[in-house]
Amino acid sequence: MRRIQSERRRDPDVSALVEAGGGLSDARSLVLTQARKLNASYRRFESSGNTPMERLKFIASLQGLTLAPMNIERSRHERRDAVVILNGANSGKRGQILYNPDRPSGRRAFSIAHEIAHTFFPSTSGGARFREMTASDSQETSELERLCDLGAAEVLMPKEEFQASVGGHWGIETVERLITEFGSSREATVFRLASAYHGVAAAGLLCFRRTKGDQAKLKSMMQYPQADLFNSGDSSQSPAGIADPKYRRQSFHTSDDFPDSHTVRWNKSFNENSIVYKVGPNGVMSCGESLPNGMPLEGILEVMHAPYQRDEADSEHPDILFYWRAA
Amino acid sequence: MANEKTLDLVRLGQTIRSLRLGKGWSLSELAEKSGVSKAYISDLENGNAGKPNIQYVYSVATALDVTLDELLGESKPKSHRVERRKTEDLPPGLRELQQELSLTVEDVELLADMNFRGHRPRDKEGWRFLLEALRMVSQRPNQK
Repeated sequence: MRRIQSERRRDPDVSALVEAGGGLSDARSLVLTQARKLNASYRRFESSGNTPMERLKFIASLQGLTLAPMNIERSRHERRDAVVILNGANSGKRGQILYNPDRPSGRRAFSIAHEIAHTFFPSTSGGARFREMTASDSQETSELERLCDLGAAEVLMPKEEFQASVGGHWGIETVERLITEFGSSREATVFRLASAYHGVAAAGLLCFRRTKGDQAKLKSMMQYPQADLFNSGDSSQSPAGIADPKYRRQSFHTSDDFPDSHTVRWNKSFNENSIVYKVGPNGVMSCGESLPNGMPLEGILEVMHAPYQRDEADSEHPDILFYWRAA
Repeated sequence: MANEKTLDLVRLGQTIRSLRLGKGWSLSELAEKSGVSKAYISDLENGNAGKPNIQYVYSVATALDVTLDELLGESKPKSHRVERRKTEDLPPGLRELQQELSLTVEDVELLADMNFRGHRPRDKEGWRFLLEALRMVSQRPNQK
């Protein structure tokens, strides 16, 4: 089993999970084990013909949770796609997941699965906790949230069933069919194409932007325009040495076989010759390329526009999903 | 016995029956409230439903106001719940019965959560009656 990289700054929920597991397994393995147990529990029943949302409702109930839509007033103002409200220890029901019914079905389903995964962590059983499901523009979503995404992917798209359904057609062209079958969001399905892949694969979200440092410099220059006097001669750089925006890694998901040593670090930019700069609004582009991670391995890189764009996304260079697998 | 691949159908049936009786409902009433046929609920209660259909079991659980987790008796937080209920929070008469019969905390917890035909016993004898009724039901041989 792979180990999560950062062990330094532990979320208390993650620490509690590892402790409850006897300290012998890493949090990632423990989350996957819980998700797989839940799926196994579901398979003990006759369940043919259930829609993905019905399946999720039953899975939640097997975890002691009920599902309910947020009321109209709340759903209008609520930024979160779903919220888990856990009961106190004196209640038989573990809690309730409130979801925003106005969200697209795939996004709603993944958010519910994410909240189910939060209940895998023993320290969350003490009371209500509210969390944000949508990916923020922060440097990295926390370890806890990433683990919950991992658990959600396993709950919603069980690895073996997903692999069987892909049937060897590992590529973005199968995403629509997989969405229909598993009911997940487009992003989560693309990321699952990487995490469920038998060999070396990766997927993620790229955002067209400057580095955080350059963004801060630029903001400062806007406030103090005289800084513009110190113009750089480098054509690839704006005034005061600020580099042009590029497609930079935001999120990153890998297969089990992907070497940790070659993770594309957060903020790493893709080369300007990459197809990520050339994809159109409705298309998928595919090309033989290596990832910007120093790994001497070429693969098939596929890119498409991300279905949900951040408010601050560049209009000419929208956020992009990529899927790469070793050739 | 239940494991990750199979359900403990006998236990599931006993739990459904016990919850139904705790609410004072007949099979017909549970069938009406859950939308599941009386025959299927009877099969569930008697452990004869084969590989149960999750939609039907879920409907029964919802009518009984429990989750599938609780219905299967696999609910993990219950152990915390048993430990945390304070003796002084027990309804009148139940603590006396617990002392007299040396009931386990699980039995006490089960009784304390129960209503009988919409009411709770008010004294020790009422709790004794409810306990005996439950024990009689759980020991009854399967009926068709």
